[in-house]
Amino acid sequence: MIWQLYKQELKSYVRGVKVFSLLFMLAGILFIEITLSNVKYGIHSIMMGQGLMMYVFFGQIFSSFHARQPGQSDIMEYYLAKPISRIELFWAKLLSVSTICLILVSTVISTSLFINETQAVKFTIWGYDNTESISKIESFNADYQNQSDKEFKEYLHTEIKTLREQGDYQQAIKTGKSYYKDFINDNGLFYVLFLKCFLLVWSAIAAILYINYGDAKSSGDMKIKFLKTPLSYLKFSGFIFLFSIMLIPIIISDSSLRISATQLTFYLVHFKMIVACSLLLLTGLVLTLRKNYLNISI
Amino acid sequence: MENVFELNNIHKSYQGETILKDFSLQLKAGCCYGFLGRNGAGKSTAIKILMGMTQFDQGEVKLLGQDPWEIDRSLKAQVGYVSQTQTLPPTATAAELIIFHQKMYPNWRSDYVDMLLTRFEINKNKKVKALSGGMQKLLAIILALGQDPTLLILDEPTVGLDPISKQELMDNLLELLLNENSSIFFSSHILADIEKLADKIGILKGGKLVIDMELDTLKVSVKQIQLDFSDDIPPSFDIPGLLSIKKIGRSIILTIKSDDQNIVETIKNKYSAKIKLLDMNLEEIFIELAK
Repeated sequence: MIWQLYKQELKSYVRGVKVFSLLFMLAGILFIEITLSNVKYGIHSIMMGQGLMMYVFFGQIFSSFHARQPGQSDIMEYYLAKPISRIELFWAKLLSVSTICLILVSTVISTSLFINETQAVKFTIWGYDNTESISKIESFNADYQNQSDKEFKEYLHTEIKTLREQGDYQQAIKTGKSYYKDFINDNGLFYVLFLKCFLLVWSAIAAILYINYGDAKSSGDMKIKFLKTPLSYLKFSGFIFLFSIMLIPIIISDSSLRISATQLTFYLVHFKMIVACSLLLLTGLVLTLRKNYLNISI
Repeated sequence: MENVFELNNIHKSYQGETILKDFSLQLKAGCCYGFLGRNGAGKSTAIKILMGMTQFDQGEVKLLGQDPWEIDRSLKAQVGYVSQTQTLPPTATAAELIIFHQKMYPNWRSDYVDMLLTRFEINKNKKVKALSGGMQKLLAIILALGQDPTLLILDEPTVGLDPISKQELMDNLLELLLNENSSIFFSSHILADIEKLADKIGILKGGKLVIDMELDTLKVSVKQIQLDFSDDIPPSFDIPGLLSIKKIGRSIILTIKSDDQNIVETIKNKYSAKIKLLDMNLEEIFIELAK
């Protein structure tokens, strides 16, 4: 039954206008960036794509249980009336939304590859090793102790540029990573990191509130307070998340390092985000299933 | 199984407002039950509780003998449900939905569904979103009928349907009722529909079921009596089961709910007036009971 539901859900996504509008929007952003704004590599769009993905993902997963609120008409009501268990419904939704997110991200990356400025993207997919560059960077790191911050930054800046010109993107990232460990402390990236972490925690709280109070049996102020707001928080968080990632190229004003900044975001933020979101999702899944499927109040 | 469903002492509140209060309702197998109430009376909430779609604060629910939240797949497949604001997957075609339903329901009646689609002129290859609102509703009902349900639950089934479709739908529901095992539970504001189909009705008022009886019994128990006075009209009327008093000139129209068969005689003996028994249809009875 999960497979049937999955197909049904996927069809509705693929045929629906939502996915196409997202894709058109992303293609439009890529086009504008590359032709007008001098932001290279379409990285901005990839980040935007990630934000959208997160938004679609969480929005869809947590809206799965809307039909449990009085007065809310939802397609879920159609499914809930069928001989389908909530757990099947949940998995089908999870799988179909994941597939859509995968399609979204692949499309954005393919579009970037297609638009020529592809090296950075290529790196993230097929990174390669360069022994010569590694030994070079090791010697730079040894020198680090003897230089001022400014000198070191300039030094690394030049090195990153050289490595990039040589096509050694993996090493460029490694270099950039050590650079940004310092940079984070006194520049905008810290703000971005903070914002993302804040949003993540915020979303987690919102999700947990929604799961626990979304259909609260208790009456009174608590119920009124928690019934609707968490989902709005979640949606709002999605928008702010999008907005925050749009700001990255502006906050990091050094355009020649932009590629490294983006890659760093992948390494420093994205990985943590993925882990944190997975944990959040897992917690959400357990709580939701306990609450909705097993009908156990927590 | 005697009762196809049972809602016992249900209490439900939402955002501090009580929707259902000590609400109890049972439906016997083979019965067609018309569920009435004003807008916001809690009919849809009661139906959703019955279907296990929304939680409640207190009480007990049994759907085909089981808790609707834990009901076996095979039993759930015997329940057809179409909600008031039924949403079908908008991008699916009717044909795709039929295939989807076929896989879920072991007693699926393909020929019957095809016949109904033809009769209601629904193009199987059209996407749901391309169908009109009325057509979508009909398609949802056809899909519910196609599963050959033991219990069919319909929330405002005829809203948005043209008179011809409505008539044909009623015929098909009657046809379903000819199957002795099938039961129908439906809410409606269109009392003519209820009068046509229902053998029992319930009226929900203020979250409570104020009426739960056979339609024929209700029609007999609620009466309108016109008293034409030649002398002074009494300032008050002390009659058991008095629902309302209407004054028109020197006439008084009393609406009474009483099982006493001699109520007319009692009134005649009590007041010196010319007495006339007026006919009441279900709509008039509903207005008197629900206002």
